[in-house]
Amino acid sequence: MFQKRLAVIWLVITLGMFVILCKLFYLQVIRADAYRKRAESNITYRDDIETSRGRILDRNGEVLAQDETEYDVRVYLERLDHTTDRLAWCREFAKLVGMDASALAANVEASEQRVVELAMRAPEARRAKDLLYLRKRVPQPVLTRLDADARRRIDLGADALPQCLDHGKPIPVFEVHDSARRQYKCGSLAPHIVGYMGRVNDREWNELGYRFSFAGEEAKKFQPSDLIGRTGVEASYEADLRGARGMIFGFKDARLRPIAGLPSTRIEPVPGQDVTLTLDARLQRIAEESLDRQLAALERNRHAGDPHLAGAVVVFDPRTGDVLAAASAPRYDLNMVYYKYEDLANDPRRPFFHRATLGAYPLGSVFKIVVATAGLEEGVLTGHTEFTCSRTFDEGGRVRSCTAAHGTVEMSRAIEQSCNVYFWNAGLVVGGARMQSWANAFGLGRKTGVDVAEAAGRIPSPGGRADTLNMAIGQGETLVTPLQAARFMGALALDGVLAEPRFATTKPQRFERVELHPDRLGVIRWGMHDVVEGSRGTARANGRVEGLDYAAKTGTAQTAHVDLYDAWFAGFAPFRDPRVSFACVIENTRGHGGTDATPVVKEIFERMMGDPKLAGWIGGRGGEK
Amino acid sequence: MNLQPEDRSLLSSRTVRQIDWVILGSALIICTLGVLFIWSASFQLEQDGDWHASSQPLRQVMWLGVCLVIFVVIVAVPYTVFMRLSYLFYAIIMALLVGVLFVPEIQHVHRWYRIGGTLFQPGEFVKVILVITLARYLMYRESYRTLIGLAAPLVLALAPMVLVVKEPDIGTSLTLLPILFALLFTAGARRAHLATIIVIGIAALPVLYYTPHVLKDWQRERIIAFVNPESHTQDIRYGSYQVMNSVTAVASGGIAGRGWGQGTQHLFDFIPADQTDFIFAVYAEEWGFLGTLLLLFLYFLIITCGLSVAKSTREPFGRLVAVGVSVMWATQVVINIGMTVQLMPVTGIPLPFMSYGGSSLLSSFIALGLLVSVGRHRIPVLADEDFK
Repeated sequence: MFQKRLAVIWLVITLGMFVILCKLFYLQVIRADAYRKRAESNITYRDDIETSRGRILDRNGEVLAQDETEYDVRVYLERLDHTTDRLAWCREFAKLVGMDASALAANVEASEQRVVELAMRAPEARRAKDLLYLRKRVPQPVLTRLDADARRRIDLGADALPQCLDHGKPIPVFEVHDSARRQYKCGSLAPHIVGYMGRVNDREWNELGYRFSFAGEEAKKFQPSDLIGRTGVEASYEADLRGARGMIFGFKDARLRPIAGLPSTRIEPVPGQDVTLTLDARLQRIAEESLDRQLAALERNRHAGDPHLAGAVVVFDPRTGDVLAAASAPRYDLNMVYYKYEDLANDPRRPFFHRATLGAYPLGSVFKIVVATAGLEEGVLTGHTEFTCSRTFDEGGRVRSCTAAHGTVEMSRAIEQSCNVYFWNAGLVVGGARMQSWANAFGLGRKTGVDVAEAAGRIPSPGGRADTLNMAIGQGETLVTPLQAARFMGALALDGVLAEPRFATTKPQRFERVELHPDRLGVIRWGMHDVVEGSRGTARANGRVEGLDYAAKTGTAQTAHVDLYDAWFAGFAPFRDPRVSFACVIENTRGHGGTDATPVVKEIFERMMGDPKLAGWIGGRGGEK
Repeated sequence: MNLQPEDRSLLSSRTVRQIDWVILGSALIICTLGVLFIWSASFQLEQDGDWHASSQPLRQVMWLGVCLVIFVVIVAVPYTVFMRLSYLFYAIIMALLVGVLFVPEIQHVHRWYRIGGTLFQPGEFVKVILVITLARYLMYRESYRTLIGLAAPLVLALAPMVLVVKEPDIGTSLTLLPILFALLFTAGARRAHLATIIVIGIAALPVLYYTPHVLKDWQRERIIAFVNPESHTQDIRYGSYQVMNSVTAVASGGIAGRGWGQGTQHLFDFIPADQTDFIFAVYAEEWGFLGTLLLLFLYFLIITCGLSVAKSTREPFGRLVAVGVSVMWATQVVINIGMTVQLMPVTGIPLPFMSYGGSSLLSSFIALGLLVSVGRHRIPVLADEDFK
């Protein structure tokens, strides 16, 4: 019996050792590679080195937006549990930074919640593991936007805080990270063009893969709380502005302490590139102030219940495509977007809407320039073609009326006085198809290729007789953005050179060419000259600027609302040797282009002439930039 | 009646003599590996950026010298001396176990006496003393053939177990159970009786688990960590963290291992107790599957040889000592390596001949001495061939 029982014992022991051998075989032979990776990740660490975003400057180097350093405090939640007690830690830490302890405790609680929410996104089997990982290994932000002073106080007082001990040695409970905050020096200057930023969203994160790389660079990839440009140049030049984070790789021990004696590899961060705008901040300021002043004046005539007044003005350099100023009203302060986003987004006056490039309006009488040019270039009209205006125009059944009885006028005079009867007749001669194709050639009703968000607008296809008549005076479905109008005026100024507009100087200059005959163009230009300077010019009363000879055209388009109009004023300056073109629109006003839009441009030009740094743009004395 | 037991043995005396050398040789090879890997595990990165070994491998070599001397002494004297002195040893160790509960805590437990510069752990010697005490008690008796008769050996084993649990040192305490059952089993206790006791014991486990003050919180944590490693979130010291890291170390060794002194996990402090309880994780990472295969083979050799010494011995005390000692080592090996590869909950049991520590080494060599002594001293007996 003894021998048998001895054999049983031997069998049991052998079986036990065999089970262990199997497990060893499984671990060391089958799963070795997976565990080897895990072993590497145990002993190595990878830390990001923060970088900064490029600045946004105006064409003269004035800073509009830049990063400023601020500090975040992040805690290891799991280690917080191992200090004497969480509330005591919060109390001591709050004392350090001079804040309310209960507010800090609430922040810690909020980050606990956030961690749970993050973990819940994982498949059910992995949730517990994820939660453990996040609490143990990923420090969670509890305080943000601390200044350098608070950071110094934290550094000085850190040793006195309740500690977390591991094997009797203290391990860090929190980390201080520097991060950059976008500071908009420009405030409410050109907010639509500079643009604001927002947190990267799920679609960008997952579908577009920004968490792996951005703009072809892995170093520019996004992290969960990163900001991305949402509007304006901040959005369209994200790839340039965004910096690449640096990285440090090294070895760490079980308590997550870097091992000083072993080599670490450091990849330096690359700051984002600055973007220089084509805007001239001084001119932009003048444009905005002039627009605001005019809107404030018009506000007095506004009837209760009318749609809100708004407007835009664009000053454009047709020789390069540079947009020198693009004011849109109403506006907002970029530094307040973070705090007041909901209010701004729900404001019925729509301050976020960038009217200079996104607002599309019927062009009104400014479109008559297209009709005239088309007629001349197609050879169906000449400068001497005359039509007689006796204030009415019989369409055949329905009678349309002009602003006055202009008598028998030739083209220049018709432009000067904006005679509807002349252009109804001219429109019938030219025809809808030609009007459409010429409008298109001048870049109206299609995207300009500008480097911020823009609307295409619309030029209607040829329709019946009534449509042709409407189109000839820019009413109805002809929709044009102020930027398109300014660019169109630039092409008239530069003998048909149509520049592609740009807001950043890094965007290459591009031009289209519209074939125009100089003599025929002269007829148009002189007509536009007389709009301002002629004795009966529609802009003479409110648009004439002492000492500046310029050409322009007024326009007044009907809106859906009876008695309310979109008032236009667009042209170029100076008349000889033009350097800038411009377009101004006031929406939902009770007046006309000649009365409501002209004062804006007039004030801009007058102030430019008084400013030595800007006078050069309109041929005055002073250095041209 | 047979006055010439050697002739009836399956193994000739020559083979038995060779077995002595196989056992001793294997043990010494494991000891050498132990010193080598205690050395590796003792490397620490100092402020100057270089790795420095501590004095522990040298101390282990010194202990090894002491152990060899004691081994030779034990082999030289007839093992029947220990049979006569067994109850005295038992009384002494019980006194020491009671006493250790009243000395100041070291590393939060009452496990060691501090003697000069070294620590003396009575718990290590309980195992081997229990083996000789039980062997002495069971050798010529037949009372264990009845259920009531099993009470005395049970009390002999349970008394030190309770004291060791009090230290607390559940691991060591649990190694005593297989020794008890293996000795009762080979001595001839009825299977039904043993089964009854085991069933009652298992039924008592949940009661013990939930009774306050029996288990410390961290001991419960270890058990939870073993049963469900994923659930474990509270403590990085006693939780699944320890086991996960030792499994990572073992598995990342692969087939050939990273090479001596190249184990990454213990060098970076990921393996707690890397020179004592978790020495196998260090070894397995550095020498890989081939190394662990060799080590397991050496233990298998020692244990098998130990059991064949029992098989070839007709003297009842000797054969029971041989069984007890073999089972004692087997239990330690299975539990220690088992916990390192997450087959067992974490308990503080050293790997025989391998782990750093004088008490453990000494106790293993005393057991080794007894085993070799049993194999060498053929003591004629007047007894039936077998236990009843």
